[in-house]
Amino acid sequence: MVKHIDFSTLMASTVHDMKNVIAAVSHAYESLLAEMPEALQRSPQARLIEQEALRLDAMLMQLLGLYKLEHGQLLLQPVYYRLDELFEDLYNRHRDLLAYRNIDLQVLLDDPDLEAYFDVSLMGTVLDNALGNALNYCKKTIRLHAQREDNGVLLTVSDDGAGYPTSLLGEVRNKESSSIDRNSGSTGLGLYFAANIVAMHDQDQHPARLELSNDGPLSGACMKIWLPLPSLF
Amino acid sequence: MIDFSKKRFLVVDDFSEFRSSIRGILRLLGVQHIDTAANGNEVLELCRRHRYDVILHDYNLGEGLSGQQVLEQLHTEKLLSPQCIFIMVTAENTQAMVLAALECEPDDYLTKPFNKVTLQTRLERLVRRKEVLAPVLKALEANDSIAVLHACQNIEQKEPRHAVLCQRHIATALNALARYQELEQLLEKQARSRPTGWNLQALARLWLSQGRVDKVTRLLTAAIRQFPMMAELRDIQAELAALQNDSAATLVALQQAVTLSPNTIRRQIKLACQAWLNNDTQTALHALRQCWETSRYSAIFEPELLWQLASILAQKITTPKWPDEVQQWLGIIEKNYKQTLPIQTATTLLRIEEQRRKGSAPTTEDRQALLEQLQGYQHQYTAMTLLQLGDWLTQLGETGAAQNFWHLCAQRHAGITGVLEQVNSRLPSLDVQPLRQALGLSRQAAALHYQEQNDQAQVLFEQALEQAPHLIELNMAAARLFQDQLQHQQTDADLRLDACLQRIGNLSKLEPESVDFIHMQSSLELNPW
Repeated sequence: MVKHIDFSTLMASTVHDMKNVIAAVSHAYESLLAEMPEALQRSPQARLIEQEALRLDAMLMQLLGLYKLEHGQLLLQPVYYRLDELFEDLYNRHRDLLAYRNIDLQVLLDDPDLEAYFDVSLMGTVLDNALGNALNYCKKTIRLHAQREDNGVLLTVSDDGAGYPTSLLGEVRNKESSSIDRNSGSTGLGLYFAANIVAMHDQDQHPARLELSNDGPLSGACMKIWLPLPSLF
Repeated sequence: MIDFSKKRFLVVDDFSEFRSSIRGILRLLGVQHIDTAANGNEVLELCRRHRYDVILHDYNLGEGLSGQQVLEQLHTEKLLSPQCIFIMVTAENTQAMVLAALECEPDDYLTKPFNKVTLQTRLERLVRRKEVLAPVLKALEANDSIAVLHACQNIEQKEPRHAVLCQRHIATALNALARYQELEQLLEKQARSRPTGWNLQALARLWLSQGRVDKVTRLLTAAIRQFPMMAELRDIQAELAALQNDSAATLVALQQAVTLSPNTIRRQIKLACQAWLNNDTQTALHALRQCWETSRYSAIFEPELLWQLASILAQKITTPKWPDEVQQWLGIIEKNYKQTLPIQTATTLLRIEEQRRKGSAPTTEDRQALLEQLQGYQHQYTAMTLLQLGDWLTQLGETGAAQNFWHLCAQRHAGITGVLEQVNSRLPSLDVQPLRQALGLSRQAAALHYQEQNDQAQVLFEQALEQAPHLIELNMAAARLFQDQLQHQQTDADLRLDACLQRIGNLSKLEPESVDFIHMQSSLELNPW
């Protein structure tokens, strides 16, 4: 008799292997690229390889995250993190693509020393998705903005594209996100993941918030994430 | 862009593919000097010979030492300069691994796999951070707390952007300088404005030392709600319960801490001891087996744990033949730990008992020789071992010797919650009141010390020491006061400190106090008389 193997567990362990494969391929690619003539280094094909490797890795991260979420294994490791560094990380990961597509990424911090309290890796995945979407739909500008609001920090990712479909607008909360059609494609899944990650950052009495709107500063899509700061007394 | 070409790197991973892949990335960043290692022993060996600027260390190295244990050992042997950047690399892994990696506090973490850009950004940031902190780190290396405070003040004034990096160094320096009131103000201010794990732990421990039970209780409740995954907070909760002499609550808190983060061996050792004292042998056995499973290569591991494991298992058996597991642990002690004489001797006692059950009684000479050896090592056993040695000696009919061990256990270890109850159940005639009184005085005195009322503290300590001169907790608490006095060059503080350490004599490495004990011994040796 064939032993039944839980498909999601099988998938999760395969995802680990796949991530390692991408990492190995990317490392080899980076070494090769460094030795190529400059014209090749700047070629659209090189950008395509980078972009698609990044996308594949992000998809796998999300898949793994969703698996852990469903199995109650997603561990939140929040720390205080400077927002200028968070945005720098984000920019670095998309630097080549932004330059290649000639997109203007504006970074605005109300206070240069602003910090928030969150899981850097998980929130990084959420923002990678948001920036990836903005890259796909903007005309030429994307803006990252961070400001202190109440006892927390408001992060905004906005663009000058056509905006979100009306059905997605408003506040998204993980418990409601079952209404999102998870079979409808990556946007739905990404949003479901983002809503859950954001909700994990709730503080006593102060739930974290995720909101989508089309009234952002660049008049396109605008994703707002409010993360509360810890307070003891 | 930071110039990495002059920096010396060490890359540690058990997979050679990963090592060469990281080497490749580092080359792209201009790094020229890269050493690699595949296991913990190689790392320790390399670090004894070279000073590295950056260490990229995989947490899980398969069989052998884990990243956590290597980092602990590097700290113990003082092989890491404060300037060195230690990055722990973890795969997507279990909670136990992630929390263990967090507990040993490396400079940063990276999750595998990562790419060039991620590594470059992290490295540049960490190097810049260490550059800003350079004067502080230099003062730290020179062990000069006053200079640390000055350097931190300088950074706070000139580069307020980096002030947050200095907070912990300031707190550590104030603690070292025994400026506890300033320390309390600083920690309380931080806890209100920007609560972090280390800050809450430090404040809770300070209040605990000051005997401020209500304040600690409130703080811990709030802190655990805010940081539910932080096992160290449960450790402090256990210490609080122990201070209130509530052994059941102590055990519960320790179990919660272990459930959160099981890979830290000191915690498992504490749990095993407390569980056994509370008559929960199943939990004790599980904790002891975990010590072997996760930490047998760690420098903190001691064969005494295996002896305790064998002894508890054997105590449950009344038949002549001992179970295989007992034989297995005794076999490991006899084969792998030949140099550890106190435990070899304790093992001989179990072997003699095994023979007696099979019908061959030991000769009087053998017994006498064994008793003398055991007595010679009596200061090197923990409370649990002393109690069990007494139990085995009773079985052999050596009741006088057994009672001596139990008395000694009470006199030295009364500070551990549950010890006096265990001794009393074996020696109902023992009057434990004087020991309890001395313990009470000792805790009052320690509270005064941490409120900077040193003269009153000293009077109480001296009273307590007259009543219970061998009590480890009391001698260590008094030694901490005398050490602070020594720093302020008070007359004869060195003699008083030395007397405390002499009275303790020796400590099993399994005792939580042993780290401080060894540290104080060596600091006294370094101090000119």
